[in-house]
Amino acid sequence: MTGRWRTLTGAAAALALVAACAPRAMRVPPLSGGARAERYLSQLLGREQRAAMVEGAATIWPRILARCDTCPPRRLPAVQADLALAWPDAFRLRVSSVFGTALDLGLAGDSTTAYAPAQRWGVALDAVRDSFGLDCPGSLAVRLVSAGWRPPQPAWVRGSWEGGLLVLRWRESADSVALAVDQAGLPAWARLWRDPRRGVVVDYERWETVEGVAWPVVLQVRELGGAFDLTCRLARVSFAAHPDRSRLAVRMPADADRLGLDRLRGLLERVGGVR
Amino acid sequence: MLMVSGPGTSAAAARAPLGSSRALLAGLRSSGRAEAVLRLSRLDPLSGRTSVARGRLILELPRFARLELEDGQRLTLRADGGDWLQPATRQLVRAGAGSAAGALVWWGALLDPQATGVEERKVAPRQYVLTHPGVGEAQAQRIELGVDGLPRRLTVEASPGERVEYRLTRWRFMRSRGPADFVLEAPAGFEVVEMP
Repeated sequence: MTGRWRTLTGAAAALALVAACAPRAMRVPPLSGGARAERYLSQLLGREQRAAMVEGAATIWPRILARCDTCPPRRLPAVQADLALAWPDAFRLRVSSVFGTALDLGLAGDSTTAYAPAQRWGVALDAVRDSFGLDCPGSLAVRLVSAGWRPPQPAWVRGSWEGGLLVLRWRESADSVALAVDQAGLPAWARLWRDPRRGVVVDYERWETVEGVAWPVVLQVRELGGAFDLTCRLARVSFAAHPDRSRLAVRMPADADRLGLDRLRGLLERVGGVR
Repeated sequence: MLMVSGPGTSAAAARAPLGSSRALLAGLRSSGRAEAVLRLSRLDPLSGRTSVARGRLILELPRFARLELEDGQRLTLRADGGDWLQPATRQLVRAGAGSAAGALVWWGALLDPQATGVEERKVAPRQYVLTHPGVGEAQAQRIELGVDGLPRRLTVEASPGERVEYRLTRWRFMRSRGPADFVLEAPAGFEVVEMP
């Protein structure tokens, strides 16, 4: 599986590492009807309904992770960005600079579009056709940012306790998913992987109530076996009353310098060893 | 080589100073440093909102620029790159010439148009359109001069649908402070990050 779990989030990157040392699980009685499950599903429904169109301001701190135990991670420039998403699979991130947009990234279903105005570099990828990046990167980005993890009913039945967290596990096609639910009925972390060294982990570190809906505002995203992680802080989260998905489309000028996969890989390697 | 106008422009004319930067460069050559009050507005097509930032622009020859914004952001540009101090992220980002290329092109059009190969077209009294080699008309810069011949308004289509406008007022000329004024230092508590 080459590059399946590698993706770009532009110069500001997104990806990561993580150790999947799963704590020893303790079996618990079925919780399908439990209060925690009810609370979780109720709040998830609220997020899904309001995520028809969500906007906010993101500050993102990416890092290149050390390749040895004693080496410190290397910071990359933090970025400030406008973020918008539309449930279930459209996502847009516009990274700002003093002179305007530095990078415009759009994910929709299977496709990835990115445009860097200053360099006039553009990228348009289809995940399936180009075999670069993720299956449905748009869906994944929306799930990560909205904490839109919906466990099937059997996962609740098989839930186990790890510390104070209820951990659920299930399969989605070729992928495995693990989700930890905290005592407030909110995701504490989620992990999605296809093999043990290729996957993504998100920790939901802080939540705020926005228009009556609990929404994650600080999250850390890491790639299993990868070289990057990032911390994202969201502010000014709002839900649009009249969703307009066309606003999530990245427009690229006709004369943009469209990068092929080879040049794109070269750029990502320059940023931090992403192949 | 500098191209001043459309087809048929003579070589002699092509070497002439650009009308859009003639007064500014004359002032810089005679004094060393120019400062202007800046109002920067940006129409964001994603949100539909226009954001406004205020600050100060400082220019020195041969190619030094410094932006100081009210929110504490500081940005300097030099021929070898530049620095960007961001209070919101508590980082000082240092960029080499390659990483700062986009911004350098912009300032180069004002300070060193010959080197950037910019083309100038006069579209109205005291109004010019500047285009860069290989860049389409849609991304052209538009410069409007005041009655004193100094840049008063500069607009750029930063990306499709995103219009950035720099309004420059209260120009002042003074003695140069030199290159050191265009290198930023990180305040306590800020980390220094190199742009890849």
